[in-house]
Amino acid sequence: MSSFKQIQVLKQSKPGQVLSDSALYWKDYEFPTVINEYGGINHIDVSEVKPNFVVATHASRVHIYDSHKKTAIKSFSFSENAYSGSFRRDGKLMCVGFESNHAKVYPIMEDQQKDFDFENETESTNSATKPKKRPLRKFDDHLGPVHVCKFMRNLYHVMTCSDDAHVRIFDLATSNTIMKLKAHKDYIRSGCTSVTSDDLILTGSYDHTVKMTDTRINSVVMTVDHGEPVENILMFPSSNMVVSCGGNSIKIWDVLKGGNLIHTMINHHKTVTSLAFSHNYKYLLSAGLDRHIKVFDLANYDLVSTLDYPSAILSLGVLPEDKSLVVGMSDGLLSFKDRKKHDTEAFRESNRAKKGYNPYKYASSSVFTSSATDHIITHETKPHLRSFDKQLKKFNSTKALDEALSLKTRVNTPQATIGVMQELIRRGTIKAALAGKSEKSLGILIKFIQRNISNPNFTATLTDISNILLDLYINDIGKYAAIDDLFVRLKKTIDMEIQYQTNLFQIIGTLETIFVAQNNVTK
Amino acid sequence: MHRLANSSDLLCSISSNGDCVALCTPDGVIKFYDTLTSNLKLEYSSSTHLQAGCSCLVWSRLKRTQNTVQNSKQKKLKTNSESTNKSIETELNDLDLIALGTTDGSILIYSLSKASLHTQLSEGGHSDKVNDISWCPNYSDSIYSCSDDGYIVEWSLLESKVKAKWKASKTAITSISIDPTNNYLICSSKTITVWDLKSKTKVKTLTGHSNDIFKLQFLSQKNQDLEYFFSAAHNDRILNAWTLNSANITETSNQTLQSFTLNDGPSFLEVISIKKNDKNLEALVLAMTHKGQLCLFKYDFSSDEKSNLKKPLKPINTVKLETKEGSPLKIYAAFLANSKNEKLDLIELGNVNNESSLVDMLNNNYLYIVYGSHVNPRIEKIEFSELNETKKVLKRDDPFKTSVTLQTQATKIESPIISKDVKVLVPGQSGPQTSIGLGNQQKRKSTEPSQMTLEERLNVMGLDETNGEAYYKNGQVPKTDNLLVLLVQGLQSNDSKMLNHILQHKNDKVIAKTVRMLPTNYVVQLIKELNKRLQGHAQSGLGLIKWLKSVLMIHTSYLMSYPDLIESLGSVYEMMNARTKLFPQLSKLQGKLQLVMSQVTSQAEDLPSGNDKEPLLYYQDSTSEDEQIEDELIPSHSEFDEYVFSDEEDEEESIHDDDDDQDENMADDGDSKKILKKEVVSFKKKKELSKSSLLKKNKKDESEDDDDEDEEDDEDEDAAENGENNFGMEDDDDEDDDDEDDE
Repeated sequence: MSSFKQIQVLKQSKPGQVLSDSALYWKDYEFPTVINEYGGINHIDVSEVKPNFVVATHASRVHIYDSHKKTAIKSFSFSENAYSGSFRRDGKLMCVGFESNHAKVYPIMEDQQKDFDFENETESTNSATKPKKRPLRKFDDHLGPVHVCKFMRNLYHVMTCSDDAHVRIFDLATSNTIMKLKAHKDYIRSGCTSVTSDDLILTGSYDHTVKMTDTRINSVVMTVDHGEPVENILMFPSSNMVVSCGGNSIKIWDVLKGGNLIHTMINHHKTVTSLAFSHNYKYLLSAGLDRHIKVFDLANYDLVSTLDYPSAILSLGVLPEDKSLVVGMSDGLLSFKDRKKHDTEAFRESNRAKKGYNPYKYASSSVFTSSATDHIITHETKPHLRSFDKQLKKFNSTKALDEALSLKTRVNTPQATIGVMQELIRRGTIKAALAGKSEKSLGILIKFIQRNISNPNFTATLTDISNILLDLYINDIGKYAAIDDLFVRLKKTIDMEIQYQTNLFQIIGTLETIFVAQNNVTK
Repeated sequence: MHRLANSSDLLCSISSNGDCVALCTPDGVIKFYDTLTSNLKLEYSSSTHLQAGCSCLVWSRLKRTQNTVQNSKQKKLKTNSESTNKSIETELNDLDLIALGTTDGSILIYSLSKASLHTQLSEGGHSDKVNDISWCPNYSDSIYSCSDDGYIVEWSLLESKVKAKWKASKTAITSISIDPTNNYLICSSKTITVWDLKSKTKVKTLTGHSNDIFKLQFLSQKNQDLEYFFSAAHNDRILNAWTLNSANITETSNQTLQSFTLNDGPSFLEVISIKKNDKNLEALVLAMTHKGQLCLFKYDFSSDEKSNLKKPLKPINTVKLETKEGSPLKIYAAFLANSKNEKLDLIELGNVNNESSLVDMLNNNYLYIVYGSHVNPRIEKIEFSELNETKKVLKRDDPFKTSVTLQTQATKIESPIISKDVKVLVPGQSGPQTSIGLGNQQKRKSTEPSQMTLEERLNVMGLDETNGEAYYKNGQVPKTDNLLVLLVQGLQSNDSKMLNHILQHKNDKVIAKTVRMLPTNYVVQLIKELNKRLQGHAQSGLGLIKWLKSVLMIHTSYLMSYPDLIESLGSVYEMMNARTKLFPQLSKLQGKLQLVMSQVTSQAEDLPSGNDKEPLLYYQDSTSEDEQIEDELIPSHSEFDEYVFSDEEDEEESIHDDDDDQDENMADDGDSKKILKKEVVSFKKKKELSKSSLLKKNKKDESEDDDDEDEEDDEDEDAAENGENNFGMEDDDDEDDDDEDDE
C-alpha cells in the first residue's frame, strides 16, 4: 500500500558564506557574564591547574576569580599601579610587577602555604587572625616600572621586563638577580617564557623588535623587526615559531630559519592588544582596540570567526579546552563567556533519570530475542502529516490553503505554503481554493504575496496566484477599504521590484561588458 | 605654550556665599575678584610668598546670613559650649576667612573683611607642602589640614595652635574632607581612608582610583544615615561616588556607588545636592577637565540598585568655551547660584516631573564660570536655558587678546561725516577717503568676525562637505570618521554592523567620492559584501544598487585586469539573472494591478458624495422587514469589525453574540426595533472604524513586521472561532471538488 505523498518542503538555499566547523565552534558560546571593575583591565592570566583561577590586573588592583562562579575569591589592592599579574605553572604562586620599579611574589591559597619552602614567611602570616596578604618575595633591582613579570618553566626563576629596557631573571629562593641583559632600546611591554625549555625567553618592545634570549649564554639569539611597537607576543610550545602583534598587524615568525617572516595577518582596524592560543594550539585568538576578537586557524592562518564586545579590549585569556573566554576591556568590564553545555550522552542519561524514564517499557526487542524461523512483521508507524497535508489528503483544497497560510507555517516555512500552492495548481483546484474567501483570509493571502513576491524562488508561483486573485475578485475591489489598502501595498512592492530589476538589468549589461572585455584582454 | 603653562597652575576658589573668587597667580599673589562685576576687590601677597608659594586655597564654610548680625560683644570664651559655638560662629562669620596652605607647611588665615592676615598656623604643624585644608562644618574653631609629610593636623583657630596631630599615611596625603555630622574624616592618597574623629582611629580603606585623589567632597545632604561623597583623581578619567554609613561605619560598602566618565582628567569638582519632594535625593556634579571642558552629571541616589555592573555615567551636559577663531578656552571653576546670586550647595525642588530635563529644573538658577588669564579673569553668569544642547559651545572673545582690541578702538580715526551731495573739489587727499560714503563703511563693518554669516561660521568649523578638499590643502587634519576610512576599516575587519551602517548612505555624490578613493585591493571584497546584501527586499536593494553601479563604473579598468574576475563576480551575475528571470510576468501583473487600482482610486474619489446618503437608505431598508438581506449583512459587518479591530476582541464578541441573538429573534418573532438600533450602531461603528482603519494601516506600514504578525495571530484565533460561519459557503465548494475528483 502506497502512502500519501507529502508536500516536499524545499530547503531554502541562502547564498552567502557557508559557516565552517571552526566558525560554528567559536560561535558556540553562551551569553557573557560581565563584572565591572574601575580601571582598564590590562592583563589576564589563566591558571593551568584546576580549578582554573583567573587573575585580572587593573590599575592598582589584582583580583583572582573563580572561573566557574565568576566571583572574585581574592583581591589585592596596592598603593600604586600593578601590571602583569600571572600564575606559576602549578597555580600556587602569583607574581605582579609594579609602577615603582619592583616585582612581588604572592601565595594564592593560605592553606597551601605550608607546602612551600619558605617557612619563616608563612608562619608569620598564619599567626595573625586576619592573615595579611604579605608578599613572599620582593625583587627591586629594576630602574623603571616593571610591566612584565612571568615565571620560568623551572618554577624557581622569575623573568621581569621593565621600562628601563632591561630583562632580569630572579631566583625565587634568594631573590637575587641571576641574569641581567639590556635587550632593547625602548620600553619592554611584552614577554613570554618557553613552556618546553628552561632557558628560552622572548621579549617584545616599543623599539619595534622581538628578541629571543638564551639565559645560558646570556645573549640574544634571534631578533626580528615587527615594524610597529610590539604589544604582545606568544611562543609556540615547540619554541620554533613566534607570534607578535603591534599596530593593527599580527606576524608569525619562524625561529629555526633565523627569524623568517611566515605570515602577516591584518584583520583588525585598530591596534591589536592581546594574543592567546586556544586549546591544543589549534587556533590563535587576537583582541584589539576595535572591540573585536578574531580567531585564526593556525593550519592555514585563515580568519575563522569574529566575536564582538562592547568596548575596546585590552587583554584576553582562554581557559583550558576553550571552556571559557575571559576578556578585559578598557572601561573596566571583565567578561566571561562560557561554552554552551551540549547534550552529551551522560547529560541525557541524567535527564532521563529525572523524568522517571523506564528503559523496559520499549525494550521488547532487546528482552525478547527472535529465533531464525520466526517471521517478523514490523509495526508500521504512521507518518506524521502536517495539517495542510491532512486536508490535501481529504481533497479539501480551500482548507488546505488556509492551513498553509496559518501564522506558523507562513512565517516560519513560507516554502511550505508555496509548496501547497504549487500542489493545488498541479491538481487544477487552485481557482476553487482561492474563490469565495472571507475578507480576513483574503487579506492574509495578499499580505503573504506582498511579503514574498520579491523572493526569486517564489516569484513565479506568486505571480500566477495574484493573477488568479485579480481575476476572481476584480468586482470586489473597491468595496472594502482594508483589502484595497493591501492591494495598494502589493502594487507598491511590485513597482519597486520592477524598478529594482530594471536597475539589475543595467548592471547585468555592465557586467557582461566587463566579462567580454576581460576575455579579450586575457586572449 | 606659555599661556597654557600658566593656566594649569592657577589655583582658584569660590567663597561659600558666592560673592567672591580667590585666585592665586603663579607669582604667589592672591587676588580677590567680585563675581558680579569680575572686578578686582583685593590683593594680598604674604611676606614669604617668594620662598613658599601657595599650594591650596580654601574658604571657610560659614555662610553669611544677613539677618543674624549680632554684635560680637562677648568675645571671651564661655563655659557653655553652645554659646561658645555661636560666638565663634559670629566671629568667624564676620571675619570672612580664607585659609592658604603653603609649600613650606605653614597655613595662613586671611580675613577678607579686615583685609589683613588674621593668623598664621605653623608651629608644630607640617614639615612639607600643605595639600588640602578642611573647615569644620559645625562652626567650631577647628580646621584640619593634610600634607606631603603624611600627617593630619587639627588646629585651633582661636588659639592658633595645634590641637591634635597624627600620622595617617606613609605617603603624601593629597586631599581631606570632614563629613557633615563632624564624626568622620576622610583623607586620600591613591586610596581613601576613613578616620573616626573622636578616637583618631582608622576605620575603613576604600580603593577606586589609580592616581592621586586631589579632591574629596561630601554632599551637603544625607539620606538617613547614609552620607555620600565624591572623589576625583589626577589624570583619572572617572569620578567616583561613595557612601558612608555614619551610624554603622562597618557596614559601609567597599565598592563605589557610581562612577562618572570624563573624556580627560578632571581639574575641578563641585557637587550640589538636589532635593525633590523631600524624598528623592539627587546630586548634580560639576567637573572640569584638564582641557577646560565643563561636564554636568546628574545622579539619583534613590534609584540605585546594588548591582556591581553599573556602567559609568556619561555627562548629561558639557560646556566648552571657544574663542571666535575656534581655539579652546579653559574654564577654571564653576558654581551654581540662585537668582539672588548666592552660591548653592542644595537645591530644593517642589513637585517636579521626573521627565523634565535638568535645564528646565534649574531654570531659576544660574551657572557661574571663571575663565580667562590670571591677569584678567572673567567671571560669567550663564542662564541654564542657554544650555539647551547637550554639547554646548560658547563663543567668547579671547581674553588674552583683549588689550589689543582695546587699543585699536582707541586709535580709531574719527572721520567727519560728509553727505553725498558734497563734492570734493580738490584732487589730492585733503580729507580721509573713508568719508566718501557712509554705506561703504557699514558694509565693511559687517565683515568683521563678530558678525560672520552662518556660511562663514560653518566654513570655519569645517562642517561644509564641499569645502573638504580645501581643508586638506590648508594642512588641517582630515576627520577620522570619514566614510572612506570607516569603509576600509569595516572591510578590513569584516565588521558587518559597520558595513551595514556605511552602505545605508544613498547620496550619489557621497557614494561616488567614497568609491573613487577606495583602494583597489578592497574593490572585489566590497562587491562580495554588496552581493550578500542584494538578495533582500527591493527597498533596501535600491540603495545598494547605487553603490554597486558606482563601483563598476569607477573601477572598470581594475576589474577588467583582475584575473579571477569570472570566479568572483560570477555569483553576482547569476543572482541577478535569477532575480530578473520573471520580469515579463511581473510587469504584466503590474499592469493589471495598475488598471484595477486606478478604478479603485476613481471610486474612492466618488465616495464622499455618496457616503452621506447611504445611511439613510440603509435605515429605510431595514424597516421594510427584509430579513433576508439583513441576515446576510449582519455577519459581514461583524466580520469587518473583527478584521479591522482585532485588538478589541471583547466588543467584537459581544456584537457577534448579539448577531446570534438576532438570528434567533428573527426566527421567533422579528423584534425589528431592537434590530434596527443595533443596525444603526454597527453602521456608525463601521464608519468610525473605516476612518481609524486607514490611520491604523498607515501606522502599520511603519511598524515592525513582528507587530504585524502578532496582530495576525489574534486574527487567526478569531478565524478559528468563527470558522464555521465563514467557511459555510466554501465547504460546499470543497464537496464539489471532492465529487469531481472522485469521478
